[in-house]
Amino acid sequence: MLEAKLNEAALLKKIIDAIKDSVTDVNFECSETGIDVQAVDSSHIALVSLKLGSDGFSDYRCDRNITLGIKVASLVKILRCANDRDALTLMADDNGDQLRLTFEDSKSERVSEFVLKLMTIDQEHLGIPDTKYESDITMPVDAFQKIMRDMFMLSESVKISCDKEGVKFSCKGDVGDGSVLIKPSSSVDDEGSTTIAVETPVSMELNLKYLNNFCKASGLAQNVHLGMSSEVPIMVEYLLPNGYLRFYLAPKIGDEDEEDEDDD
Amino acid sequence: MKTYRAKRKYLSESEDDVFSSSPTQSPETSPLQPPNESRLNIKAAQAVSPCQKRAKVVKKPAKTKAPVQMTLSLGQTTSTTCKTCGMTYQVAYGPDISAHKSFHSTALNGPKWKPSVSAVVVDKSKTYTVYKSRLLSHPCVSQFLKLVNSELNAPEPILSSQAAVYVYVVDQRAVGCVLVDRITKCRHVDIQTGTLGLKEYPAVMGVSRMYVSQLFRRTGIVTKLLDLAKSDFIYGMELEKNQVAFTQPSEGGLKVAENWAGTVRVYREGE
Repeated sequence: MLEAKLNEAALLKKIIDAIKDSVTDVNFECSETGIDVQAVDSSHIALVSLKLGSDGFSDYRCDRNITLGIKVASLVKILRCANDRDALTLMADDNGDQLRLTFEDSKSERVSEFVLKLMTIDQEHLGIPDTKYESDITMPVDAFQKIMRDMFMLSESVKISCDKEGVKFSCKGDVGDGSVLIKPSSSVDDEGSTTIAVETPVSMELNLKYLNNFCKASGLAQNVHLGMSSEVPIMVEYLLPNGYLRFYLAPKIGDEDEEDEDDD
Repeated sequence: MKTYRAKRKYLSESEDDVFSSSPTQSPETSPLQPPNESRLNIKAAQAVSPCQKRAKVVKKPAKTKAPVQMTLSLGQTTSTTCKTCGMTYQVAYGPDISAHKSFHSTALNGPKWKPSVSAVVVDKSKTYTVYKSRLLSHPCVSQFLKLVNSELNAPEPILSSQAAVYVYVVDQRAVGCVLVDRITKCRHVDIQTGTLGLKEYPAVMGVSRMYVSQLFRRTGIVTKLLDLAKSDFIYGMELEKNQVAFTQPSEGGLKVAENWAGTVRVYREGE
């Protein structure tokens, strides 16, 4: 039996809106500690990992581990019926094939209940190795989103290079080139500050289509955290009140040897 | 000269410093060559790096010169089996996806059927055409039969020279077929117990293979083809249903046979 109550439906709405373009079907794995979601996109280039700790809910009860297979597009439809301020409750039976969602308006005592049919998704929980990234960047979400959006106008992929000086986003397109250099802020306490911790300078090329999809999570946090190591998927992390929403994206790698191998 | 250069290349790999510090050793080579060879060495060094990076990121080949998009490798299942057509393919590999697409539509709608000299029209209406062919080795027919056989998971049929195939064509796609042959004897099968009768009966037509592509099943195509074959297979002779026997029927095939003939008679191919 799962019963999880969120004081504001806005959180779940935003999370689902953020991942709906990246993945289609996800397994919500509910346990005592909270809800975990992990899903790879259809082309196996990006991965979404979400953790909602039980403390993040105003009321949380999960006696036994339950896996809820959810079609994201259907959940989006149901969540559209909720107002942002509504209290949201998720309910599911141990062996049930449906998820009940209730939205309660605290003022006018309106209670709406929706039922989402679940599906069986054949996707095992993957062990993501805990990586110590060579470069860690924390920057305001809107700055990151704007850069990604601007770069996408020019090119399909962006090159992110990071060293002690700052982090440089550059792209090469048919119409022209562009680059944005962000230097670490001098005062760390500021809200919209950028911090950069570099062990080894890193540079990687990434697909902007995916990055722009990730940016849809911008409403969830003040800052976005980028973890980068060379030739390892980049991690784009948004911290939630009690948990996180992480996206992993495999880089693009180009060198002359690749072409030779392709001929085989 | 050629052998000498090859030897020099070998030297430059092992004793790089020695070679570069004394370029006068080979007066007959042009000054352009040393940078050429040093580039070769760099390339060889680069060839090592892709192996290292594969530890985490699996390479996905592409034909463009642009950087190649990697895919995640976290131990997730990379292959999937289509529930409708049963094909197993790699989800993150472009050529596999397109191969599945074409196979999927063939399995569901049947393969393309090009009418040719190898087949004659025996029945025609507004919605369908039935072709009959005795030239089973003609590429147009044999390709289709090969596909049917693999779809049925059946071995190569053993046929006599009198065998014929009836193909049901809708919108230039072969959606169903019945492969028949001339036989002499058959036995009776009790469907409830699944036992084979001992007594042999005379028979005229043996149905070797029956196939209908997925989207067209349960629409009576095989029944129509069997009726047609019954009156058309032997020229000028309408066969009785008990003169027709089946071979190696699958579960579905057995039901078709029972439905059509009432009782099921079977024969052994090549007997």
